[in-house]
Formats: sequence, structure tokens, C-alpha cells
Amino acid sequence: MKKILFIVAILIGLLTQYSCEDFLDAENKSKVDSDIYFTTEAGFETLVNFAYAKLKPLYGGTIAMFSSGTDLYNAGRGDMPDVGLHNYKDLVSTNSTVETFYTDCYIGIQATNCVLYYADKVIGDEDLVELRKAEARFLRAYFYYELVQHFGGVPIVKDYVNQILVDLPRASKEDVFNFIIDEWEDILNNSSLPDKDLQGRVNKQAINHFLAKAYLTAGWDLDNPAYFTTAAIYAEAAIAMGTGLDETFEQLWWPSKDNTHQEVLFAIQYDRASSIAAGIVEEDNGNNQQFWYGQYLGGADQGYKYTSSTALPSLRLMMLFQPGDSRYKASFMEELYCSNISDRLLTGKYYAPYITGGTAGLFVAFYYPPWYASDPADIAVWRAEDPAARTQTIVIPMKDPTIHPDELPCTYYEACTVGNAPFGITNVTKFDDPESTFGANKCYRDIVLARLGETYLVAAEAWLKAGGNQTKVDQYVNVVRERAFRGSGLAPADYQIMGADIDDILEERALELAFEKFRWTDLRRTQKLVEYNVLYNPEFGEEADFTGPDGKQKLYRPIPQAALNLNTAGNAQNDGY
Amino acid sequence: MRIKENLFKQKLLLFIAFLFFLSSNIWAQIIVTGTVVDTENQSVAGANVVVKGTTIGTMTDIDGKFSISAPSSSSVIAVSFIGFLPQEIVVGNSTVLNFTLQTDATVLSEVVVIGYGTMKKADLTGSVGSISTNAIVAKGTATLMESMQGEVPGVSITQNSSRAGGGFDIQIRGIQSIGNSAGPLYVVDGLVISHIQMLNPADIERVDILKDASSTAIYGSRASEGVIMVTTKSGKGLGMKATKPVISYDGYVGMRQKTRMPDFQTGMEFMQYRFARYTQAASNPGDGSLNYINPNTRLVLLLNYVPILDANSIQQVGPDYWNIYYPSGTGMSNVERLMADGEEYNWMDLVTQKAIQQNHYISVSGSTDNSNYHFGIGYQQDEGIFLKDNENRINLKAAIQTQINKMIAAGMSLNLARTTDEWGSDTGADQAFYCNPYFIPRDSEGNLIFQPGGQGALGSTTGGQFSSQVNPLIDMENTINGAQKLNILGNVYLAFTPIKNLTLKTTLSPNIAQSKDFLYEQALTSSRQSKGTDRAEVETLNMFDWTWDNQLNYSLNVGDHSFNAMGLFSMNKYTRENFDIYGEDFPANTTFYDMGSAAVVVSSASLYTEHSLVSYAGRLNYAYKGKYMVTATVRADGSSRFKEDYRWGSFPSAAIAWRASEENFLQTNWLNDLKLRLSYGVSGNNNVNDYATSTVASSIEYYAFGPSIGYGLGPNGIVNSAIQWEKTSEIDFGADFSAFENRVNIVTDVYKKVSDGLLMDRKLAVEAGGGATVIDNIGKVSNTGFEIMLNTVNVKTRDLIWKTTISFATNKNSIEELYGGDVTEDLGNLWFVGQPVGVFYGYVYDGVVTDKPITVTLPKDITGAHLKDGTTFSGAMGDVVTFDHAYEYYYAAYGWTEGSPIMKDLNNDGAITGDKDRKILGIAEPSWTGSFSTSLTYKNWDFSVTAYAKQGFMVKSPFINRYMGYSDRGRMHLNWDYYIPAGVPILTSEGKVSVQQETHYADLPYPTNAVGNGGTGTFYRDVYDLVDASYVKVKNITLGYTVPQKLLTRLGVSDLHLYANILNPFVFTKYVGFDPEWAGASRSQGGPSTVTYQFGINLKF
Repeated sequence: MKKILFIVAILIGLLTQYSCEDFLDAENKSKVDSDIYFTTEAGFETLVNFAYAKLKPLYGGTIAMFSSGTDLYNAGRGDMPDVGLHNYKDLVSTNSTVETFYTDCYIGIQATNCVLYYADKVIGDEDLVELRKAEARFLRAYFYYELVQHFGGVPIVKDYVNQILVDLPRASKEDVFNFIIDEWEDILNNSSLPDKDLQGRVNKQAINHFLAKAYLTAGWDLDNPAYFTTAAIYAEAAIAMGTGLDETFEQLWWPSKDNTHQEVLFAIQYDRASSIAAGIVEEDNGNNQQFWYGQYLGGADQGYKYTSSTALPSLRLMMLFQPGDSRYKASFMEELYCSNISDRLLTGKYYAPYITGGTAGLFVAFYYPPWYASDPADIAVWRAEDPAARTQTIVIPMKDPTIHPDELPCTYYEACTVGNAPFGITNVTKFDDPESTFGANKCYRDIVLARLGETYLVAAEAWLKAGGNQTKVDQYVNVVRERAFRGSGLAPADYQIMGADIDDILEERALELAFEKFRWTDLRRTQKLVEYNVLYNPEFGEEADFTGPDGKQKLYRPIPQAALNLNTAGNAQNDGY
Repeated sequence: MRIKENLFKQKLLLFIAFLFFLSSNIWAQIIVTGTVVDTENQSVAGANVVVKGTTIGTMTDIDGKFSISAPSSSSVIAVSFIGFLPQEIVVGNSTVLNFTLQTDATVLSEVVVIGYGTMKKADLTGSVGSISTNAIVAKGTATLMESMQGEVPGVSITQNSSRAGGGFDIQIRGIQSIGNSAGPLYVVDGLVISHIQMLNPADIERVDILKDASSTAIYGSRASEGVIMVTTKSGKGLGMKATKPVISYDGYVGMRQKTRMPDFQTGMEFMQYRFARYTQAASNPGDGSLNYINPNTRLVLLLNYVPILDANSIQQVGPDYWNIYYPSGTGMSNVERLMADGEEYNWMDLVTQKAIQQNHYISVSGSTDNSNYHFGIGYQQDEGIFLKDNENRINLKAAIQTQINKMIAAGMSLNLARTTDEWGSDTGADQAFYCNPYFIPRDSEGNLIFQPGGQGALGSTTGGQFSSQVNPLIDMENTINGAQKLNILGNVYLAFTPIKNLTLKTTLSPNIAQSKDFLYEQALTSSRQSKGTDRAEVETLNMFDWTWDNQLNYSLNVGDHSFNAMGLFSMNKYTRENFDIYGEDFPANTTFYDMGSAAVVVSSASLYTEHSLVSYAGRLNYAYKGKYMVTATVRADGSSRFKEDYRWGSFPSAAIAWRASEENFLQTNWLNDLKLRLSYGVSGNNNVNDYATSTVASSIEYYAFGPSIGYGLGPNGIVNSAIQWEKTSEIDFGADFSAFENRVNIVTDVYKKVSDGLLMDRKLAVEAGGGATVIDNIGKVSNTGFEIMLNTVNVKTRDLIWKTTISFATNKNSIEELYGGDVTEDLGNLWFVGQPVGVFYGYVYDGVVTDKPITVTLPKDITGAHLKDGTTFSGAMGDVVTFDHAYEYYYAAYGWTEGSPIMKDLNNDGAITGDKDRKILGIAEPSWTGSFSTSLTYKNWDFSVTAYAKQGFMVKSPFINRYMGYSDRGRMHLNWDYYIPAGVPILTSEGKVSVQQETHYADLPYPTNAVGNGGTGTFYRDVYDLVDASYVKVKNITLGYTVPQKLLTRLGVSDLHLYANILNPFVFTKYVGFDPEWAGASRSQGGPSTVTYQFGINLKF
């Protein structure tokens, strides 16, 4: 018994030695605490990568926020993504696409604020930390730039949120623009960011470009003419740092040359080889750029690419192209190849043209010539060039009227939408990724957010709005047109535009930037949203559809109802909702 | 020891002799002698023997004998002894009176297991419900949970799955949390564990459920939703006489089969529905009546023919007409052939089985002078009603206790359970009943057809098919889905009694749980068909948890005062590791046994988590004269889940009880016991994840910079590091009443529980982090309720005993506060202040648009509405107008046609809108639950029935959602009665295509191909699956026979009881799906209602 008492005494002794508080500190062996990990140099770097990655949800998924409800796109076999965003009539404050976009922007803001929060605590190379801080500040303001374009004034959150926060009043448009401009100008002037970076990092050339756009947008939105000149100066600064539009439009968009284009100032980065090497499933890290803007081309085993069957190029867009414009061929899959012409729907070879000699022995299943090259004579010439491949080709001209894939006459719009019309409209090639397997989210092409081609048009618009310098306006528009018509054999006078006005600039933006993520914001900025939808959007009803229950027009997106509900600041809704 | 016992006997004899001396000297009247025995003819020593109405009394001696002098022959001798029903006999002419005492079923001497100790039920101040081993074993259920159903009022237990090893939902006195429900605390032999599924019901000694806060407060931190104390069997008592080993066998075998099948469509009924679903408005007459055609007859019937007309211009396709189209009998599709022959496949039978159930439990227990022991081994098999559903379990049990010396006792117990589950295919179970009678399971060679409702199976050459759904039999055959689990519960204790009444006890209780969940799907299954490769997934869990309790007990009896004090220091630590791996494409089809051979390892993950708890607790019981009782407890808990400044919480409670029946003024003949109890206490909950108060680097993202991938990590969210214990305070008032020789017993309680500072998910402003959710101590919920249990012995004669137990409980749950009080409703989560947690909210279905006249107040200005006769109508808002046909009004006002559902326009504004026309439609909490059980013992026969009722609750039924849904037209539905407008094309029951002559009125909409959701639109889709699932269920009917002792002794058997048991024989409900008890279960978990027939034996050597 003494032994037992002895043991009990030892146990009790041990017990009293053991601090309860230590015992109650749970150890987390499978995860590292944020405060520990992000204050190391390696951990901080992963946090910066994390912040960059927050750009992906904004652009890697639906195109509804950028392309729906504009003049350039209409329904295909399926409706345009998010009917409300496309027809305005059904756009309400509970719209889930808008809510997701708004939320994703603030997720990005939180991530960049988190970088800035830990930047002050990290132990490591101070210069590098300063650089990353500047990158994070750029990205943060970029998220605000998207927000201010879509929503006008929004709450400005500059600190990393790590507590309960429910009271965040909306800032005015002016305050949001000022915040963006101040931040970008500060890092442009006071950081050691590189002038240029083709690997996706923030660089000063891109900042110049975005400052130009921010001033331009602010000039329109705040009705501040002085901003236009500043915008033009920044655009010219960005142009001055580049090498012009030296590549052809086709080279610019040719697959597997991402990260080599001097023209690209800033792009969201994707890389298949290193992703797969890192063991990531293809669809987990890709985007679905190439999936949009395409009529249905059949299922997995039919050999064509996977398409959304929606957001087709509108007749308006097709009719903008002029003879000699290289951008038609570089933007669309004019010729759709198959290996067995008598079974053309099931033996597709969509990506064959990207492989050297890849089309040898194949047949052209469908040919989609532009309106100006679709006379019988043109077609006959085209067929004669390669009779073996082209004799049995079904030719569907991209004009009105046209023919259905079953070779019956129909309107262009019917070719888009009627009777389950696979193959009715040419597919968009700008984002084609021949290495991708069939499916959504499998494209590993970068998503370009800024390139010089646009910078010139920004400069042109800025000078136009600044007034008094039409020469510069025309000069910059024609830089873009020169590249488009390069090699066409046309004399400059045959394609140049003189005395360009805002509609001309928007037409040029349509041709140059079609399917890139700008159209809705372009129309909103230039106050053409209502006019162009009435004129060109086939699924838009009547002008009154823009008017909300309050009698005002829906010129911004609604502040998501969920955001209004959760915010105790009692923020006002935008007009029209 | 032997010496001590003898000494005791001597003292007792002396004492009795002294009593004799007293009695014989004061009165010299009739001397009555006799013996007091119990029903098993064992003598009862120490029983009180009194002459009623006098102070004359004595006690029985060690052999149960007594001698007493009665004043006259009319005197009544009353004998009583704790644990037995009192008995009275008039002296009369006899001088020898023998008493046989009946055991008292509601024994006041019953010992109840409370936290860290036991207590006589008589002294209890709190509200505790108990279930005895007999009640558990008699139910014949596979799980302890099921056997507890209906046994204790206020404890609601509902089976949430019909699958083998399926789970239960349990709630004690309502829902205490919003969102994160912790559930009650399970304490098995003193050890807190997460569930009790692995225990064999035959190994359970008793279950005590602590309901009020004064009882649960001793478990403080984790007890706000009640405590279920399970005591497993062990050797009896220490320091008693040596007993010879008792070998017991409890076992049953049974068969379970499906029953009470819902009214599914027959083949023709299905075809009629399908036909209706293809009808389309031919031209819109503009008045809302339907002018339908069915343009798609070929598709409807899956036929390859063009229908022709008979003499009356009616298209005909019925069995009598097949030969019109196929004179040679060739060219028919398989479906046509089935229809022509009236042949159908009964998929219900194809996917289910008659399931075997068995449980065998053998145990040995006994004691020597200083030790006792109990060993057991059990085997259980519980097949499910679906093919391949099966659960097997082996239990091993060992318990031993020994008195080492006068001061020290020690013991240990070990409970080991190995469970193997097989579940076939969840997809198969989900899809099983979705096959209509013309789905063809096998081809002519007997091979299973991959798509039994696909065009290939149906013999269609036009692409017409019912569905591309995969054959559930193929899914079941080609899937291996199951788990292996090992649970080891143990404890070792050392008790030290240095001085009388003081005990120090230290107990170490390890708990080990390991499990492996596995899933293998061949390429040819629903989930793998598109990929064309097989896949396997294995998840392993390794849990170790230990609790070290150190307890100090001191009791003191001074005169009329008795004290009992308990102090506790306890530590608990829990660690768990998970490892998951998921791979695809196994070249050698090695299922999940060779994960390394996967062509693609899709993911592998591991996780570690731990938490710890330190507790101090104290309890003081005081009783005065057994009349007034006070209990006070306090517990302080520190949890690792909270940050340092917030981690300690203290949980006090107090209770008083008054045994009024002990008062002189209440000494009556009929009242045996009356006790009033009042308690108040606080308990808590730390129901958040481990590490919930700090962020970690997780949330992996990838970002490529040029050709190199950047690995991105961010914080896993926003946390609230200031969260702390949520607390529930409860006041309980109870009364225990026992009268008429304990033949009527009532235990009743009323209570109010308020849970405050609930740990709830709270959404931040979207702008604060982008839609982040954090946990916060917000929200307040109350539960108010009433419980009563009535036990009666209705008939009691020598041969016949009839007893009845009725229990009833009602609870009202209400959200008192949300998000700190600013918000009165949260539509996203459907939380409304003033309403219970768990409400259903939506549009209001108000019947079908008919062709009957209607008078309405116009909700808006209506012009140009066309009436039946072609006239137009114009009316202003507020006008009261009569329409000849309801559809004229509904079409004009809402655009709804005849046969469409009417959704109530609550604000009468002429439009159905989400924000204005939805309301609370029902609540999930039952308005009351109750149970009824009765037992009849006649000589050696016993018969009992138990029933359970759950009434007045709504459920969103996945079953109804599918089988009464209008969206699908190719698969099985219930045979429900839908409205059919006059004039629409129909398929008659003879198979003719005809025209509906007269309107067929019914409560449910007409299925068509018009607008969304089979013609019913989107509003109806939101609400039709919300149903009242109230039920009364007869859980058991048991007939047993106890073999007479005489026959047994020769066999060396001391006790043999044989019984037959029917589980779930009857269900009374309006719910039309499978079983109302799991009406809310997902389709793969909820299967057919079952009935089980068992035969069992209880045997003791």
C-alpha cells in the first residue's frame, strides 16, 4: 500500500508541476499560424502570390460583367450569361453575377491589405519587401479601379480586416478615383518597380497605362476636362516605354507565345507546364477564356473545342471589319477542319491550324468568310485554291442573310440562335490553347489586361476629350489601324481614319479589343451604353428597360443587396434599382 | 472480512432480541409471527413490521422472521422494506402471517448515475431520466440509441437514416444552438466520448439522462444540450459475499423486410403521367383555359409508329390495339412489348433484400471475497434493406474491481468494438426507386443493362428514351463502399479511503478510435462513366483521447443532517490525425488495397488536430431528515479552443428539493412519496473547431510568373479571437409523486432554458474581406417545456400484473436575439426572432386554378382580359368581381392557366414576389412527443407493446421532392391525383389516346410541358415538398415466456426467457413517403420503412 501511495504522491506532484496554461495551448501540427508563417521571407512571398492569384476569379470565369449587355455579343444556342446583365430589364440588386464580382474584388482587396499588413512585420530582404509592397498597392488600387467603373463610389478599406467589421460607408466616386490615382502615382514615382516586366509582375509601363485609363475614366465620370490631358500624358509615357506595335496581330495572339510580347504590359499569368509539374489538375488552375464566345461544336469525342454555345460575335461586330483588316483572320477560326468530310461533325480537328503542317490531308468542314469575301465568285476562288480540301466545304458567310449549317438560308441572328445551331457562327481564336483537353477551365493562355494596342486608343480618346488636338487623335488611332492593315497591300489613305470621333474610337476598340474584357466599361465610360444597346443588342428590348423602379437609368451595376443588408452604414443603392 | 460479517450478524441478533424484549414486556396480547420473503422466496432481513395505527413495530431477522404482538385480531400488520411494495394483512385468527413482498418497479431506492457519482433517486434534486437494462434489452434494437427512443420524456430521438449503421438525431429539451449544434454529451462509464454507436445494447446496465442544468452543470462546459450517462455492465459491489459466476446469454435473430411501401405508379399510371407531361398548349385562347394537344405521341410512348385513328377519330394504342400496328408482331419496341403484355419490372424488389439481424452476447460475472469481475463478448449483424447494406460488430468487454486492502480499491474496465460497415452504393440507393416499371434491368442474356431506361434498352431507334440514368444494380454491384472502425474505451481507477467516509479516487480513461473509410467505384458506374476509369478513396482516422479525473468524496451523517461533498480536478486531451488519399485508374483493379498503383493520385491530404480541457468542479449535497435536500455544484473549465483571456468559464448551479411526503401532516394511507424540486444552473458549450481563434496559412492558390509556378498561401479566413463559452441557464421545477402503494407514479417537470452568447457564424460586411464569415458569441435562444411521465400498475394479482407507462413532452423553442440584437430576421439562414430555430419559409400553395366560378377582390387594374364567351373585361383594383371560371381571373391577373398551381398573393398586389409573398410555413420542431408502453405479465408469460408519437412537425422531404416533383417525366413518381382539365388529350387506362370528357378535380396541379417545372412554375417548386410528417409508431410488440424454475434446475440453468418481438409493426401517419421518421433524410439515406421479426433468448446459468 505504501507503494501505491507513493505512486499517487508522484502523480499529484507531477500534476502540480504541470502548468494548466501550457496544457491549454493547443499545438497545430498540420498548419502554420499566419503570424508565424507570413512574417518569414518565404511565407511572405507566398502571400504575395496569393494576392496576385485573386485577380483570377475576376476574369477567369464568366464574361458576363464585361461583355453582356453590349453591342458586340449576342446569344447563341444558349442565352447570354446572366440574362439580367444582358437585357437590363431583369437586372436587380440580387443579381448573383454582380454580387460575385463585387465580393471577389473585396476578397482581392483583403488579400492585398494582408500583404501590406505583414510587410511591416516580415523579417527579410527589405528592398524586396518594399517592392512587393508596391505591387500589392498597385493590385489593391486595381481592384478599386474595377469597382469604381462598375459601381461608382464604394467603401474604401485600406486595412487588413482581422476583426468583426460591419460599418463601412460608401466613399464618393471622387474619393475612390483619388485613392486609385494617388496610390498609383505614388508607386510610379517612389518605388523601385521595374519599367517593364513580361513575366506578369507589376511594372511602371503598366502603371502609366492604368493611370491613363484611370484619369480618362475619371475625366468622363467626374466631368473633369483637366483629367483628359493628364490621361493623354500618361498614355504617351506608357507608349514611350514600349517598342510600338511591332508584332502583327496574328503573332500577338498566336498560342504558346505568351510572355514574349513586348506589347503586353500586364497580364494575369497562367502556365501549363509548371502547373502540371506541380501536380495541379488541369482544370483547377486554368481559365475558361477560350470557352466563351463560341457556338456549340459538339461533345468531347467530336474533335472540336469545348464552347459555351453563347456570347457569339454580333452582326454589328462582323460588319465593322473592312477588307484588308488582318484582325478578322487573327480573331476568328475562318476555316474549321475535319478529317472525314462525309462525317464532318464528328471528325473535327479544331487545333490543326496551329500545328505546322497540321492541316495536311484534312478537309475544311466549314468556312466562315467575312462579309466582304463571300460572293459566289470569292467562294469559288477560295475553293479553287485547294480543291481537295474545300470542294465539299459548307460556306457560311458572316453577314446577313447567311445560311444555316444545314445549308438553308437564314438571318445572321438565326444562324446564332435558331434550331440548336451548332457550327452556325465562326469561333473565336484569340485565346485558343491547342494543348488544352476538352472542357472548361482548361485554357492556360494569359489573360491580357493591358497592352499597347489599347494604350494608343486610350491616348486617342484622351486627346479627343481634352479637345483641340485632332491630329494626335487621328495619329494614335491610325497607329493601331496601320498594324491591322499591315501586309494588306492597301495604301494608308485607304484604311486611315481622319477626324475620328468617339464612335470611331469605339469602333476601333471593337475591332482591336473584341473579346477582351473592356466592352461594357468602354460603353459606360463613353456614355454610349443605352444608345448602343438600343441600336445593336438583339436581345435588348426597349430603351425603357434601362429605367428602374425609381425612374432612373441603370448606368451602374446595382450594389449587391447582400452587401447593403450586411453593412450597417445604411449605404445608398445606385440609381435604377 | 468473515469475522466482521459475523460480528455484524451477532449485533443484529442482539438488537432484534432487544426489540423482542421490549415488545413482549409492554403489551401482552396476540403474538403474531411470520416470515417475509421476496417473490423469489429469498428471505428479507431488516424489513419494517408495524401494527398499523400504533407505534408497535419490529424488524425481521436475518432469516426474514419476525414476531410482533398485535392488540387485537382486527389489527393490521404492515410490512415495508425499501425497494419493495408495502404489504398489509389483517391479523384475524391466525398467529402466523407470511408476507411475500413484490419488487417495486419505481423503486425509490433506485440508484441513479449522476456526474462523478451516484445518488439515490429519492435524494435527487435535479431532473434525471433513467432507462434500465431490461427496457433496453427488451427492445431488441441494433443500437442503444434506438432502444432509448421514447423512454425519457423531453429526449427526442429520431432515426435519420434507414441504412445499415445509420445515425440518429437526438435532442434533449429542444435546440439550444442556432447553426452549430453540439448535441448532448455522452459519458460512458465516466468517460466523455463523441458517440455511443459502437456499444452493444446487451452490455448496457443503465442509461441516465441528465436534463436540467443543476444535473448537467457538473459537466459544465460541454453540457448545455444535456448529458447521456451510459453505464455498461460490470461486477456488482465490492466487499460482499463471494458469489458463484453467472453466465448469461442474451441473443436474438431476426429478419427485417420492407413494408408500408408508398403508392408508386404502375406502368400505365406512369405512362399517363408521362403523356400529360408532354401536352402543350396548342393555341392560347387567352382566357386561361387549356386547349392542349399532345404533339409528341411518339416520344410519349417511345413508339416508332404513327398513331392512327379508330372509328371515333380517337388515336388508339392500348393492349388491344397493338396488333393494328404490328400485325406480324414484329417491330415493336421493348416498351411496347411490355405494355402490350402488361408486364412490369418491380425495381423495389430488385434493389432490396430481406435483411438478417442478429445479436449474441455472452457474459460471465461474479465475485470473490475481495474482487468482482465481468467479461463479455458480443457479435452483432445488422443487414440493411438495400442490397449489400450490412453492419457487423464484435464487442469485447472486461471489467474487474478489487479491494486491495482496507483502504485501497482498484479496478479497470475495457470495452472494445470492431465494426465493419458495407453500404453498397449511395448513388444506387438514391436512384433505386427512380426507375419506372418499364426500365429493363437485364438484357435477353441476363446481363445487367447499363442504362435500363436508355434508348438501347428500350429498343428505340428514334432516340426516344426515358432517361440515361445508370442501372442502380450496376452501381450497387460495382461499388465498394464501407468502413472499418475500432473503438477502445477503457478506464483504470484507484480509490483510496484513508478515513471513514473520505474517498480519493483517481481514474485514467483512455479512448482510442481508429477508422478506415473506403470507396471504390469501377469504371462502369454513374460517377465514373464519363471518365471511363475506376477510382478509389481511403480515409483513415486515428484518434486518441484521454481523461484523468481526480475525485475527492466525503460524506458525513450527523443526526438528521447528511452531507456529501465531491471535489474534482480533471484533465482531458484529444488528438486526431486524418489521412486521405484519392486516386484514379487502377490498372489491376486492386480496389483501394493498392493505392500506389493509381495512374493519377488526385489528392492526398493529412491533418492533425488537438484540444485540451482542464476542469475543477465541486458539489455539495445536504439533506435534512431526508426531507429537505440541497445540491450546489460549480464547475470551472478552461478550453484550448479559446484564447488565453477568454478560455475559462464557470458554471454554477443549485437545487433544492422537499420531500413533502415525509412531513407529518402528509402522512396518509395512500401517499407514498411526494417530492418537489426546484433547480437553477448554468452550463456551457465550446462548440467551435480547434484553432478557431487564430488564422493559419492555408487557402492554397497558384500563380505563374512567366514559366514558373508560384505557390500561394493566404490566411484561411478572418477569425474572431475574442470568442468565449456560450452559456445556457435553466430553471426547472419538478414534482415526483407516488401513491396507492406506489401503483401510481408521476414525474413531471417544467423548465425554461435560455442559451445566450451562442457561438454562431456571423457574416461581416461584404466589403470587410469579401463575404467573410466569423464565429461570434451572438444570438440567444430559449426553450420552454413541460414533461410528464406516468407509471401505473393497473392490475396486480398473484398471476396477473398489468402496467402502463405514458410519457408526454412539449417544448417551445424561440430565437430571442440575433447578432447582438440589431437584426430581427436573417432570411439567408431563415432565422426569425420570436420563431423557433428551424422554420420553413416560402410561397403559399393554395390549390389549383379550376374552371369553377370565383368571386374576388381585384388586386390590380385588369383590362382586356378575355372571358370564355369572347367578351372582354375591365375592372379596377379593389372591385369585387365574379368570374364564371376561376381560370379567367387567374389568367388575367397572374397569367396562370387552368390546372396551374395557385400561389397565394399575400399582399394582393397582383404579382408573386419573393420579398412580399413568402411567409413562415411551418416549423421543424414537433408540437409534442410522447410514448406509451404497456406490459402484461400472466404467470410465466409476458407481453408488451411500446409506441412512440411525434406530432405536429413539418419536414422538407427529399422523397416528396423527387417522387411528387413535376420536372422529370421519364422516371418513377408517386401515383398522385392531379387535376385534369376537360378537353385535354389523355392516355386512358386502357391505353387509348382520348380526350378528357369532364374536368377531373384534384388538389395538385396538372402536369404539362408548358412553362417551367412541368407546368407548375417556379414558386410551386419551392414549397410542394414541405409536408407534415407527424406519426405514431408502434415500436415493439413482444411476447415472452419465462421457463419455470422447476424445469430448469435439472439443466443447471437458473433463468430462461424466450421471446418473440416485432419491431415497427405499425405506423400511423399522413406522410406518403417511405417512413415519416426519416422523411427529412436524403434519398440515399432514407429507404423503405421496415418491419423486423425477432426471436430471442435470455439465458442465465
